[in-house]
Formats: sequence, structure tokens, C-alpha cells
Amino acid sequence: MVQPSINNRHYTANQSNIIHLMVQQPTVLFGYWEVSKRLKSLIERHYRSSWHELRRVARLYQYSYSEPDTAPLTYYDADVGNSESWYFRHVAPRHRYALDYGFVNHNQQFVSLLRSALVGTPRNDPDWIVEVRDESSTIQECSQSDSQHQHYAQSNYSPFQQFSTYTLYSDN
Amino acid sequence: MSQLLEANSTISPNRVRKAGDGCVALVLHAHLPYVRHNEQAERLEERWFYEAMTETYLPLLDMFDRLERDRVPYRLTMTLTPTLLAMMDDPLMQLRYDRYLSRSVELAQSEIARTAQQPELQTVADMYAKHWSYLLQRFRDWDRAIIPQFKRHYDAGHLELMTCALTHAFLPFLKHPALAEAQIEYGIREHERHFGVRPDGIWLPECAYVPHLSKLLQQSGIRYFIVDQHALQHAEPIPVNDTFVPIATEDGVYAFPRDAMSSHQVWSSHEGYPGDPDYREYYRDIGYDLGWYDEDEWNYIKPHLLADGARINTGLKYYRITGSNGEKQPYCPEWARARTVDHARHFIHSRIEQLRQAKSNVNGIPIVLCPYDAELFGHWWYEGPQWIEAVFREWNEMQEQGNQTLSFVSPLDYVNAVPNVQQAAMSMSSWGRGGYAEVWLQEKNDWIYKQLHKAEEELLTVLQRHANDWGYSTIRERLANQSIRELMLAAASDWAFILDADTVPSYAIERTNHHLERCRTLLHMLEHGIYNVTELEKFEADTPCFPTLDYRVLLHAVRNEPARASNNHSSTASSSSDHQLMLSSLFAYIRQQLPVAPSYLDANDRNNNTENSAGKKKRILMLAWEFPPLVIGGLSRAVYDLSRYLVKRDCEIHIVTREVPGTPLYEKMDGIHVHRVPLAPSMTEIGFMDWIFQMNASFTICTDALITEGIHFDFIHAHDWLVYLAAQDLKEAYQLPLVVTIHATEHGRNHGAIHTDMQQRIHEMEYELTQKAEHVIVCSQAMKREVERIFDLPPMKVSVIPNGVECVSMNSPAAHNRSSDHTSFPVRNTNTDSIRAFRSTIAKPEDKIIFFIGRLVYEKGVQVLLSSLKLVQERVPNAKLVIAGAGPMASELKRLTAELGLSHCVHFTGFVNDEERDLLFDITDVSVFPSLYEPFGIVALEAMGRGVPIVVSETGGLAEIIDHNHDGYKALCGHTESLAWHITDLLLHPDKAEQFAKQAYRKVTTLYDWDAISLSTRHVYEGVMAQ
Repeated sequence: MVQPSINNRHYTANQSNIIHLMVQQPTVLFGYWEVSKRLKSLIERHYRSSWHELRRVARLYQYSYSEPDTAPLTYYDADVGNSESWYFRHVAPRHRYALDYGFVNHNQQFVSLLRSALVGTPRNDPDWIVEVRDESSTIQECSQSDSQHQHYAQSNYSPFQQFSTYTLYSDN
Repeated sequence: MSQLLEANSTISPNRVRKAGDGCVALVLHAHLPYVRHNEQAERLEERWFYEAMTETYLPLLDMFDRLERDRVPYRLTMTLTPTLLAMMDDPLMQLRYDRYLSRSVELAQSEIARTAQQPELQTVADMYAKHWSYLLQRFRDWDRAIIPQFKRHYDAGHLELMTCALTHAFLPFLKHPALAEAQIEYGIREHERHFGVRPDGIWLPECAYVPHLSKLLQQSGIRYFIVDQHALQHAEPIPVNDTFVPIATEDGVYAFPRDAMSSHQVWSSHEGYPGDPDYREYYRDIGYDLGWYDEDEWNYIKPHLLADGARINTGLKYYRITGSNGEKQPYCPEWARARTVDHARHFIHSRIEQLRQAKSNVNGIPIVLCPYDAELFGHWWYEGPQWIEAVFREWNEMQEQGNQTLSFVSPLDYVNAVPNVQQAAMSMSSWGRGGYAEVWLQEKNDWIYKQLHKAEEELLTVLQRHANDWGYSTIRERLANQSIRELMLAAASDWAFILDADTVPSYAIERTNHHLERCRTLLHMLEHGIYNVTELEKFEADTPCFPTLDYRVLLHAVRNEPARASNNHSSTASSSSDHQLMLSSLFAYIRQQLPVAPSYLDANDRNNNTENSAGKKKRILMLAWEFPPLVIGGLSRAVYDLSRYLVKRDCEIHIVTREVPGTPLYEKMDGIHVHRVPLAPSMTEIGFMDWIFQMNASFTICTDALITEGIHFDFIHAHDWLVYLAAQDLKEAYQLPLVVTIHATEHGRNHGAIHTDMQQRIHEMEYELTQKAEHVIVCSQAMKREVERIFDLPPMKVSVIPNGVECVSMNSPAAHNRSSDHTSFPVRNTNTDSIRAFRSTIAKPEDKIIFFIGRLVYEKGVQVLLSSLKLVQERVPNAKLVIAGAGPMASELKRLTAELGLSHCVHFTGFVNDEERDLLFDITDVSVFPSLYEPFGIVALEAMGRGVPIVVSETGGLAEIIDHNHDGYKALCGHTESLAWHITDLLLHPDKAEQFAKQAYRKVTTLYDWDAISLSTRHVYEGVMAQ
């Protein structure tokens, strides 16, 4: 556990929880991340599992270029192991992307730790106009995310309907 | 000079307008990374500068002079990058170059003797000896200062000069746009220092463009820059003039596309001009050729190699390219000169042809822009400067013959002459391999960006934190400037480029790490106020460059960043959308939002600060999972009321809670600092405990950011198990005392039984939280007994502080006199028209209204109340029950109501806000709180404070609030008949009910006053601090 003195309190913990996504070319993104020792130990305490035993995943979300504020079109998971950076190849030009880094819990659900800012991949095809026209149809492909998104908006900002104040009530 | 410039500014646009078929702009980008090594003159890398001086910069100046002498008009554009200018301007580098060139002359002269038996080679040696002697003489005539010579040609209107980013950083890969803005502005200032004017144009390093640069360039007064051709081909909308006319960015800055065809003619080593067999062969240098088999020869050449014997270029190259097969033949300067003329003619005619073809498809004046690395000319393509000279001489001859088909212009001339071009948006691009960034970001060099970005964060953090401290210490300002200088030198695109090319990777790694290390050292000094002046002086002496670099420029740029982000939605550099706000950038947002930056002075002042913090005022970190306007249970309101009263008692309260869409991430509410942490929504399903984890992780990161910003806390006050993880982590990390309020327990909520894994988990967290805490606060004696028992807490560790309530008449004049008249009673608005109208929507005039408000969960006992209602109706048939609130049990309660046949006399309102709640209190005859488990019972107090008679069940905190048969009734807990009897009695005896209500109101205003409660809490804090 970090035990900062007055002198090294500054730019410590938050500096080591970082994630950043960069555009190498229209079809390749590079992301790097770092999770602080403290956050890792928080995870270990909460999940009662060693950090290294957890399956660590970098999840790349793809968004529409022109409407990045809507739900992601889709996402890709990469099992990144101990790696602290990753190249995402074969991504689509003229789209926006955000990167999450996290781990998979005991129920095989992805738990995000860090989320990057959005970046836009450049166009590289003179025929990109065709792609724009097709975008409306790709949005439909991710109806699950859409409904999820709306769900958050309705549920008083808690993802758990059965959750009330202090505890999680059973459905019964 | 001003007259000259004035004349030029008129002539140049004319040159564009008079162009027959169009314009050509030759642009030379002269750049070298900063390779000055104070103590190591013999560095290979420093020779890059010397070689370029001898082979490129001095020959170019000489060529300009010849053209000027012969009155040959020419128009050429050059970038002289700030790093290159810094080395040209540096007395040590000038001296070393003088020595270098002198030794080159000596070597050339000794070569004349050595090649006596090889007349063809001797001719070449003689050429070098004469040429270099001449250059050396001129260099000395100019007092070794060549920048004024470039300025002379600029002033004469022949040479247009652009600037560049200060250290040639690959701007798209700077994490913070503020750093890009500073790179640009510092570059401009250096240009102004050397040439006396701010530049109109900029060479974006590696022609690398990203959309967010457009605004930065425009704000810096830049009017044009150069991009690769494909940037325009992919622009939106697609430019109508193909790539023969520049476009304007969304901010009106001109982007000129590099012409691919003419580039190829000069760049390509195989098909391009420099590959001609008559031109000088670059790869046959005596530094590599001599001394392999002959010791004397080795001893002869060794003094001209590096000290360790490593072979290097001496500049003495005797051969021409010859052909792809066979032995290299000696160089013949005359043949080569003749080829430059042929190639110059070819170049011009190719451009005329190109422009003619373009003209028919272009609306406006076409321009072909040919940018090259300047060092290509002379250094690698030895005859390059002669070729440029031949181009202009050829053009001059054509003009003299009346052929006006083509004009050589600078991009600036074009900007001045053509005030309107098509506007289009370009995406990211560069002129590197592949057209984007793969040269500067791939497996060999990607590691540098995490380091650089971390240093950016540290630099901006430290600079901003100390932003208000400047102005009195020269040393601090020097530290700030030098730390920026070091970071910017580390960020030069050259290092990533070298790692990609694998030429001298160890040098690139060394330079990156060296500057980053120094940057960190300087920031450490600034941060802690402990200055090692000797070290600072050494760093400064090692990099005596960029005297105009001023930290205020960067600070100004940082302050501009949020405004720019919100005004520029097309920017991908920073996201202002809530959901995309990275947890890691909380840091930045807090810095921007906090109204008062704490002052950080140097070490002595810091000690004073510590002293102050030990004084009267306490700074408290409150962790609460809900906070207004997010109200789910009673905790939100209780934390809010407690906090705002603590503020009045010399407490500085910082609430860290979760984000509520539509509310600010930071705000000051009634003196409370509220930090709402955005939780990135999970796109796929996660478990409840995962969500709890994410919330806590975000709370710790947010608090870290606050502490990083200098907001140090005296202790933590955590509310309930939901913030357990964050509380224990922060307590351990910062060694802070922890006060915990337990509002309810999982044990109590489940009637003393822990069944499921989830319940067990929550119970454990509650246990751990109370164990870690220095002190535990609960709201009732019943809770105190409960937590002492189930969490094994010693009685001394637990204090009872009830929750408070605001009474209806608090704001009335009577409230001010209540110390003298506790019997003043709130007048319930039961008879106004609006109340009657409201009542009529719920009940008939003759109905008696029983009111319940609370969450619809099992332990609130609504099911007991429903069963009692049947019994009440036996004596009060017109009794009607109003149930306000929402919760997981709502549908079950409605079903029960129907089963009991009570649907006609039970009204479910759903969730009500405070205003609706008060209206309901006003029409109520008796309020009932039939809880099976109730740690405190704040709603009962609210009813009492509103003057409503109440019946509660005898449990937990409720039992302590009511004095039975004096200020209300306590029914047996969970007992239908008991509850029914007491409700019936109050409905049948309104006088008694009113008497109870008056007594209850007096109790609320005396015992449950927030002012008194905050004082008790403050006493707990002081006790904890004293431990």
C-alpha cells in the first residue's frame, strides 16, 4: 500500500491510473494504460483474487464518426494478459473509438477500470461517402447497447432496479 | 527595410496573378534536432550539424548570393527550425564548426598530396579544398553568424521564411493541446527573435496535421501550412480543385498540399534526379574507404574519424554514381553541373505541363508546391543547390524570352493574392511512410509516449499548482522554463524517427530519457521548494537555446484549453462529454473547476501551512454514495444537512459522491464543496458488487486528484458500507483518521438474520468499516446497542447523534423567538383553496386521512399497516390510507391491498418530492410509521416538525423519538391490533391528537435541531483529532 509522505503526495496515485488511445493510421490504434498498485490492491481486496489471476481485457468501443455521443456501434475485446499496451489492427477508418481497460469478474462479466477519451480515425478511402451512407444501418447492429443506454437514463442513475438505499433487495 | 517589404508585399501577389499557367512554390525544410553536447565535442550526432553547414546551409547562402549578384530573380521558401537556428546562433557551435571546417580544409589539402598519382581524384580533392576554404573564409567574414545572411535574403524579398514547432514535436501525439499550442508559439517567438517579425507560415513537423491544430494555428496568427497531398484528397467536402489549389481549414488557415509528382522527381533515389550517374556518390567517403589494408593509410585517416576509431563521413567523396554495375568512376564536376541544367529544364517543363493539364480542371490559379528536406540538397544530393540555382536561371531566361507561363512564388504570395479558397475539413495525416503516423508510433518507439505523456501531466500539474506563486523568484521561473525546455527537447519527433529507422537508436533512447529525467528533477525542485541551483545552471548551460521560452505562454494555453474544447466539437483532442470524461482526467477538471487554488509556497511556507491546518478550521472529506439532488434514501438529505451546518462551525466540507446527469461535476452548495464523480457507464451487464467497486475506485481516484491539487484533509467521514472500499483505501494511503456514520445495518434490515452471500458480504464490509474507524456515529441508542453488539465495538467508540429536521416555521418570524416560546406551533394550511383542491383529488371531505411515507421495503412495515386498516375501519369507516413512496415492494403491496379488499380506500402516490410531501402532511389526520426496523426515523421527525400527529411502532430510533401518550403513540412492533387501536384513538379524538402534535413539535425544535447536532458532530471530530 502506498504510504506517501508530505513530500511525495503529489502527482502519485492518479498519475498511475492512466489510459490513452492513439491513432497510428486509419486502421490501426494504439492504446496504453497503467493501473496503480493501490487500485490493484483495492481490486484484490474486493474480489478476493490476486490481480494476476484475473483475466485482463482491453475493450475497444467503436462509435459513429458523426454522432459520437450516441451508444457505441460495437466493441472488441482483447485479452491483454500482463501487457500494458496494445495495437488494435483492422479498425475502421472514419470512426471514433474509446478504450476501456478492465478485468473479467467471477461471473465472466467485464468490469471496466479506466476509460480513454474518444479518438477519431482518419479517412483513407476516397469512397468514404459510401461509408457515411451505410452508417445508419450499422447503428442498428448494436441494439443491445442502445437499450442499455436508455435503461440508464430511466433508472434514476442506478443500474440496479432492485437497489434501494442501502442494500440489494431480492426480486421476490 | 520596411519600404522593401512594402514593395515586396505588392510584387508578390502580382507574381501570382500574372502567372500564365500557374505557380510553383519550392519549399526547403531545414531542420536538425538539437544535438549540441556541451562537454563532448566529438559526438557523431553533433557532426550532423557541421556536415549540413558545409554541404547545405553555406552552399545555399552562396547560391542565393550568386543569384542576387547576377540579378536573377528567385523566390524560395524555407523553414529554419528553432532547434537549427539555436545551433547556428550558438557561439560554442560556431567555434566548433570553425574548427571542424578548418580540419576539413586541412584534410582536403593533404588529400591533394595523397592523390598526386591519381589526377582525376586530385582534381576532386582540389575542388573540395578550394570550396571549403572559400566557405570558411565567408563564415569568418560573417563573424560565424549565418542567420543574418538568411535574414538579408528574406529582407530582399527573395526568401520567404516559415517557422516550425519549437523542437519539431510530432504534434498529433502531444497529449495536451496546450503543449502543441506552446510548441507553436515558442517556435514563432524564436523566429521573431531571429528575423524580427512573426512568421506567416509554419512547417508542421513531419507535415503532421490533426483537426484540433487548426484553431491553435489560427489563434497564433499563422496563415498557412503544408500538408501531404492525401490530406486534401480525403478532406470533407472533397476539394473541387483537386490538389492544385490550397484549401482553408474551418478556421481559415490555408493548407497547401505537397505535390507528389514533383516530390518523386527529386526524392526518389532510383528514378529521381539525384540518382543520375554523373552526380556525386554519397556512399563513397574516404572516412569509410581508407585504411582497411594499409596501416599507414589507417594512421593517416584515423585523426579524422571519431576518437574511438568509429568510421564517419569526412565529406571527401571522389566518385560519381556511375551505373548500377561496375566500378565507381571518379567524379567530374563539369559533367554534374551540366546535368543540373538538364534536370532544371526538365523540372520546369514538367511543371508547365502539369499546370497546363491542371488549369482546365481548376477554378482559380493552380499552384504546385514542392517541399523538400533542405539537407537533401548538398548533403545527400551534392549538386542540389546547383540544381536550384539552375532552375531559377532557367526560369529567368524563359521570362527574358517573354515566356510568362509559370511563376515561382512562396505560399504566402498565394495567400495574399487569393483571399478566398474552398473551406474543407481534413483529418489526421502526415508526410511519413503510409501517410499517417506509423513511422513515429510502432513497436520500436511506442514506449516513449507513455513517458512523454506522464511528463506532460506532471509539468502541467506543477505549473498550474504554482501558477499564483510566480513573480517574485527568478529561480522558480528559471526552473519552470527549463523544465518545459527539457520536456520539449524530449518530445522531438527525431527520436521516434531514429528508432523507426534504427540508425542510432541508443542515442535516441538516451536523449529521450535524459531530457525526461531532467524535466522530472526540475519539477521535483519546483514542487518541494528545494532548489539545487548548481544543477539548474548545468542544465541551462547544456541547453542554451530558446531564450524566449516563457512558462506563462504554456499556462495561458492550459487556461484556454477548456474554452476551446467546448467551442470546437469537431476536435477529437479532448472530449467534453460527461460519459467520455476519463477518470484519469478528473484531475484536470478539478483544477479547472475549483474556485480557490490553495497556495503552495516553498518549504518554509509549507510548514506554515501545516501549522494553519492544525488550527481551528478542519477540512473534512465526506464520502457519501448519494447526495442532493440525488435522493434515494434518508442518507442523502442527512449528509447534506449535517454538512451545511458543519460549514458554519469552521469545517470545510468536501463531499465526494457520484455523478448525477444534469448537475455540475463540481459545485459549491451552501458552502459545501461537492465533487460528483462520473462513473463510466458499463456497456454490458455487471454485478451489483462490481458497480459498488467501480464507484469506490472512482471515489479514490477523485480524492487522489483533490489531494494532488493540494487539498489536504484532516480526516475522512464516511457514510455507510457503500463507501467502505474508498474509505479504507484513502485512510491507509494518506494515514487519515476515519469517522464513520452507520445509518443502518444489514443485520437490522434483515431482522437480525444474515442469509444470503450478498447480505453476508455487506455485513462484513460494515464490520470492517467500523473496525477501521477511529469513531462511529449512530443516530439512536437502539443503533448504538446494535452496532456495539454485532460489530464488537467498545461503547467508548460509538456516539449517538440523532439526525435533525427542519421545521415548518423555521423560516417564519416565530422561529427566531422559539427559544422563548417553544409552544409556537406551525400553522398547517388545511383550509386554503389550493389545499382543499389537492385534498379533493385524493379523498372526500368527510374522509379521515392516514398517511404513510417511506421506501416501500419490507422493514418499513406497510404490510402491517394495511392489515390494521381493516380494523380501523370498523370504528372509523371513512378512514383512508395514503401511501407515498416507491420501492421494490410496491407491486406486492398493491396486490395485498387488493386481496384485503381495500383498493377503494388506499391511495398509492408513488415517489413524491418534498413539496408534495408537505402538501400531504397538511391534509393528514394521522401519520403512521409502522417500521419493523428503523435505525432512526427521520420522516417521523419531519411529520412532527410539520405539526402532524403520529403513531409509530416501538422499534429502534422511532421508539426513542416518541414519548408514549405524551407526544404521540407507540404501537407494538409488527402488531396489527395495537397499531389499529392507536390510529383509531387519534382519529376519534382530534383534540388529543392536536395536543400530541404540539408536544412533538416542541421536542423537534429543541432536541433535533441541526445546529445542536452539528456541534455534537464537531465534538466527535475534535475527539478523534485529539487521539
